[in-house]
Amino acid sequence: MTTPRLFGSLPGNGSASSHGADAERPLSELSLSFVPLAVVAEWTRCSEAADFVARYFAHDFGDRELAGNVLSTVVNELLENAVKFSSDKTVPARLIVREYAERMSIVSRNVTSPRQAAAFGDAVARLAHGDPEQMFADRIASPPETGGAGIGLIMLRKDYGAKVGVRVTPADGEGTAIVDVEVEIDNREVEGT
Amino acid sequence: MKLQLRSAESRGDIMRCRQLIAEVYNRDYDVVFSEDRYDLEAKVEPWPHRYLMGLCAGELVAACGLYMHDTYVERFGQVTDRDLRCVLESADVASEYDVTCRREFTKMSVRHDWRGRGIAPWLTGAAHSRHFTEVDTDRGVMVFCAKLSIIDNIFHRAGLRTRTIKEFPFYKVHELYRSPSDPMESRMIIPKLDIPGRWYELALPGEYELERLPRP
Repeated sequence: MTTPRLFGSLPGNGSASSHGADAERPLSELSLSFVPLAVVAEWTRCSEAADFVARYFAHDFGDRELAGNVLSTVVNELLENAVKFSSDKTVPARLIVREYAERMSIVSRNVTSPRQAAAFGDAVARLAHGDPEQMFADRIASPPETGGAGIGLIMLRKDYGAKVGVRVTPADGEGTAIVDVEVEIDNREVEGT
Repeated sequence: MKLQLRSAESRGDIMRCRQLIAEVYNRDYDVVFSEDRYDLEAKVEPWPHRYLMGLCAGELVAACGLYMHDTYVERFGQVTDRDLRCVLESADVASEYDVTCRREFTKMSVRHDWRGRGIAPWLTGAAHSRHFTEVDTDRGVMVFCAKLSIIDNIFHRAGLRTRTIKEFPFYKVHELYRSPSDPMESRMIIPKLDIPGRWYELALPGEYELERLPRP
């Protein structure tokens, strides 16, 4: 049996944040399965899919345009990460978006190498506990590290106070790992209130 | 080994070519593609307009592309009509070609598990067939850009003669491809002077016994 490793600051990781009674069934949910190679072959599919998902949920917010923009940014970031870090780009990756009363949860799932998964998890753990403003400044000043969490996730923390967590589950006998990246954002951030 | 060559005509064939090229370029160079929103600094490449397929027993093992207009060397390599005319004039054939009709060979890709069998120089030569490029229909010229090692190991190995136009500028999209010791150049191939008859007249579609081409 394989044990998942958890990184970052999501409630499911047992860290500080807690939603208590909010751990209920989602009010709305949308999931996509996509072949990363098709996105590599037409990169605009990332932003187009992100815009579609964002518009789907924006109906539930007062300022639809702002909500659409915020959600599109978050979804686009996770889609790009899932494509970029898929070790076999012919294996489908997934995106699952759930809306709760107080928050949005956006999860991407892809298959990658255990080494890449661990590097990504470590980078997310640093991101969860570091100062996003400082990390953003450092990232701008120095070239990106291969395999680490990108500047996009840092910006989600910095601009929207998003919580980011990663679950790495070894896939038995295949020399691969399943990576779930979850970004959680307060609905007040989505609405700009 | 027999290689079946044909131009990608159907939507499915074009998609197969694009996916093979995308897989190779993404794995080797961290590049992605787009039909109409390319950005070399963001590592997003434009797709070619035409594709040549290399199949073995029905399996697509290699593919390459051709820009029929809006070539890479003019869009990103700062190559002008005047540059092309100069090359033709120095070969004394300026009156025989129309530099506004140019084709660009590009995105030569061999699946990783099919490498080491001499497919790349062979397909590169075959892609210069007039039946694929149709340069004989409008007095067009061939151009391309590549790093010097590829020019020697692929183009020259195929027996193609290449003529330097100018050095290719640096873009982030090429950071994993070129190096200071192996820079990129834009080059021209003058069809009737520089393409051996075996390639220029190669019938397409067709099936050919692939022999290893000797290094130059």
